[in-house]
Amino acid sequence: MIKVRDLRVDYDNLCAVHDVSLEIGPGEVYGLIGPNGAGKTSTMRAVVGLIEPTYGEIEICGVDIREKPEDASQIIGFMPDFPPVYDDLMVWEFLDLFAASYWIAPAERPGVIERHLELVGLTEKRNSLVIELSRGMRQRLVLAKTLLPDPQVLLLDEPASGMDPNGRADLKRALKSLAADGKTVLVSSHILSEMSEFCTSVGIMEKGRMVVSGKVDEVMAEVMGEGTLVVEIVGESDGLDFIVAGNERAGAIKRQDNTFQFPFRGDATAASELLATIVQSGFRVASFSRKREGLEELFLKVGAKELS
Amino acid sequence: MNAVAGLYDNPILWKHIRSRLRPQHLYPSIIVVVVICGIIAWGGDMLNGMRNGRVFGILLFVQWGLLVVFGTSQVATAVAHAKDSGILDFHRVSPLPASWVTTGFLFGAPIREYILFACTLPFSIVPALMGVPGAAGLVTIYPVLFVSTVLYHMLAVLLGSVSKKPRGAGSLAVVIAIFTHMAGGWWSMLGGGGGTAGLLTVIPAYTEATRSFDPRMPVLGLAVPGFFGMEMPLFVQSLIYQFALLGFVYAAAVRKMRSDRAHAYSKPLATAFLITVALLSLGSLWSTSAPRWMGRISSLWTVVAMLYVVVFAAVLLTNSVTPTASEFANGMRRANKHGHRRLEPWHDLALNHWATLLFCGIVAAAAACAYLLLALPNAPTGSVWLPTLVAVLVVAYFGSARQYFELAFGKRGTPYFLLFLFFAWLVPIILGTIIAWTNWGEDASLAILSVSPLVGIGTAAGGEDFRGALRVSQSTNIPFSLTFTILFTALAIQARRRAEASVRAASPAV
Repeated sequence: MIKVRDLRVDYDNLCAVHDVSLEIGPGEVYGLIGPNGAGKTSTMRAVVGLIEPTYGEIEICGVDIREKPEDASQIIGFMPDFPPVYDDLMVWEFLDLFAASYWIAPAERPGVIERHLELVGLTEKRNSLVIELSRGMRQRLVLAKTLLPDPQVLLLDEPASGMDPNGRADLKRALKSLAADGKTVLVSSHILSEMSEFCTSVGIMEKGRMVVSGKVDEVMAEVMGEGTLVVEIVGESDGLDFIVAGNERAGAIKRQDNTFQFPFRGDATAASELLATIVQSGFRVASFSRKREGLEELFLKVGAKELS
Repeated sequence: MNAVAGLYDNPILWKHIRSRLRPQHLYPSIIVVVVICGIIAWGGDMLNGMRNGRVFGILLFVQWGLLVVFGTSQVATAVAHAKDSGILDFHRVSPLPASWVTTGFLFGAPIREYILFACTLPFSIVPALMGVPGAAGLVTIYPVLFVSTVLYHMLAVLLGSVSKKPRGAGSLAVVIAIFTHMAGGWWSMLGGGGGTAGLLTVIPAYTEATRSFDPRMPVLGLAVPGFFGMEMPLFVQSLIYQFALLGFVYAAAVRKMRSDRAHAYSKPLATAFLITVALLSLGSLWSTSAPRWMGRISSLWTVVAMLYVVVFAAVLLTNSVTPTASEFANGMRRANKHGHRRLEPWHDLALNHWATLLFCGIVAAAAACAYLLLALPNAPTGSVWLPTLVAVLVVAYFGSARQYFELAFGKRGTPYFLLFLFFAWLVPIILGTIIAWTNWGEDASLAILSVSPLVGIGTAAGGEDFRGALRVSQSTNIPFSLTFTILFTALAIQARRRAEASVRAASPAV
C-alpha cells in the first residue's frame, strides 16, 4: 500500500506539491486527476523516489522510501508519461535487461518475458528493434517492463496516452486484474471516462494541492451532492409527481413524456422504498435507475476547468 | 552480489554488449582498424622502425585514440542520452545499485572500442618484443594505459550525468581528455613538480619504458619526482595518482547516478578530495628540485605551481558544495518542518561557508607543508607567506561570492558570477598584456597583471631572480582579494538572512 503524509515538492520558486497526504490500500486503483501543472507527475515521481521531496513521509508497503530506497524499488513498478526506451535493443532484449535489473533468475527470464509480451500483445514483435515500434507499441513495451517484476505497487503516469483502442482495452483489463490480485495502483490520466471504469478511489489535484480525495462514491456524494433518480413509466403517469413530491428526500421533478428525473438524497434503501410506493400506487414502472455522474463531471464541478 | 558479479552479471554491461557488438557494426570497424594497423606495421618495417620503438609508439597512439578519444566520447554520449531520454530514471527506480549502473556504463558503452583495441594488440606487441620497449616495458605501459582509460571514461560518466545535452557531453569529455594529454605530456617532458599533471596520462610510463631501453633517447630535463621521498618508477606513481583520482570521480558518478538532483560531491567528500589533491601534489614535491630548464629560478616556484593546483581544485569543488537559492530554501523548509532553524552545515543544501573555510585551511596547510618540505624557510619572508595569503583569500572570496550570487540572484546568479570573474580575473590580464606590449612600463604591466589571481599567486612569491618589477607587484593582489573577501562574505551573510526571512514569512506557523 501507499502512504503519503505532508508531501511537499519545490522547484525553484514554484511549490509543485503542497502538503499532500493520501493513503491507498491493497486492491485499490487510485486515479489522480488534475490539469497540467497540478502536481500529479511530481507527486508520482516523489512517491517512486525519483525526486527528493522538500519534506514529507512516503511509505510503500511499510518501507520508508528515503530510508530504504533499494527495498522499496523491489516492490514498485513505475511507468512515466513518455515511455523512454533503448532504441538499439530488440524487444526481448529490452525486457531481459529489466528482468535482470530486478534480479529475476536467468533461467526464469525467457518464460517471464514471453508471458508479458503476450500480455501486452507484442509477441510477434519479439525480435524487432525497439526503434521500429510505434509510440503505442513502445507504451505497451514499457507497460510490460513495468509489470515484469510483479510489483506490489504500480504507479502509472498517463499509461494510455498514445495507445490504440486495443491497447487501452488491454490496459484496462490488466489494471482490473492487478487490483483483483490485491495490488495497489496509482494512475494518472486525462482520459477521465476510461478512468471511471476502473478507479475505486480518486484524488483531484489543482495548483499542487489535493482538492478532494477518497473512494469514488464518497467523493461523488460529497462533491456532486444529491444523486439523481430516473423513473420511466409505461401507460398512465399522471399523479406520479404528487407521490415523488411527497417524499422528503426528493427534489424538483423534470418530466419528459413518461420519464421523470429528480434529485434524491437517500441511499439505496430509501430509493427502494420510493420504488415500492410508486408500484403500490398502481404505476407500471419500466425502469428505475440512479444516474451516476462521471469523473469528468466531478472534475469540472470541483473547478479544474482546464483539461489538458 | 559482490563486485565481480557487478561486472560480469551487470545488465547494463550486457545491454551494451548486445547493442554495440552486432556483427553489422562490429565487423567493418574491425576490418578498418586491422588494415590501418597492418599498414603502420608494414610501413614501419620498410623504414626499419620495428625495433627502435617507432612502430610501437605509433600503434600506442592509435590504441590511445581508440580507447581514450573514441571510448570517452562513447561513454559520455551514452550516459547523457540515457539521462536525456529518461531511461536513466528506470535504472534509478530499479533495485540495481547505482554502483552497478555506473560500472555498466563505464565498461559497457566503450565495449566496441575495447574489442578494436584487442585487435590492435598483436600489431603492437610484436614490435615491442622485438626491441623497444620490450616485455618489461609492455608490462608497465599497458596497465597505465588501461587505468588512465578507465579514469577518463569515469570522468565521461560524470560529465554525461550532469550535462544537459548529449552531444555536448561527448565533445567536452573528448576535449578534456585531449587537453590533459597534451598539457600532461608537455609537463612530463619538462619533469619536476609539473610532471604531476602528466601522471594522469600514459606518457610518463611510455617515456620511462622507452628511455630505459634506449639510452640514446634523452628526454628533455626529465626529473623523476619521487613520491614522498621514495624512489619510485613513474608508472607506479602514475597508477597511484590515477587510482586516487579515479576513486573520487567514481564516488561523484555514483552519487549522480543515484539521484539527478544530488550534488556531485557532498561537503565531506569534497573536503576529502581536496586533501587528497594537496597530498598528492605534496608527494611529488617532496624530493624534487626545480626542472633543469628553469635554470636559476628557485624551487619556490615549484611550490607556487602546487598552490595553483590546489587552488584550482578548491575552486572547482566550491561549485559542487554551493547550494542554489532554491536548494537553500528547500533545506530551510525541511529543517523548519523538523523543528530546526537550519540544516547542519555539512548537508548538501546548507550554505558553503564552513566548507569554504575548511578549503582555505587546506590550502594554507598544504602551502606550509610544502615550504617546510622544500626547506624554504630560508627564502625571503614575503615570498613564503604572500602567495599563500593570496591563494587563501582567492579561495575564500570565490566561495563567498559564489554563494552570494546564488542566493541574491537565483538563476541569474551564475551568469553574474561569471561576469564578476571576467572583470576580476581576466580583464587585468588583458589590460596588463596590452600595457606590456605598448611599453608603458614593466612595473605597471606586472602590477595590473597581478590583480588577477591567475597571475597574482605567482607574482606574490616575488623572487630575487627577477628584477625589481616583481617586488612592486608582489602585494598588488592582496588589497583586491582582501576587499573581495570581506565584501562578499558580508553580502553572503546578508543574502542568507534575507532568504531565511523569506522562507519563514512564507510558512509563519514555523
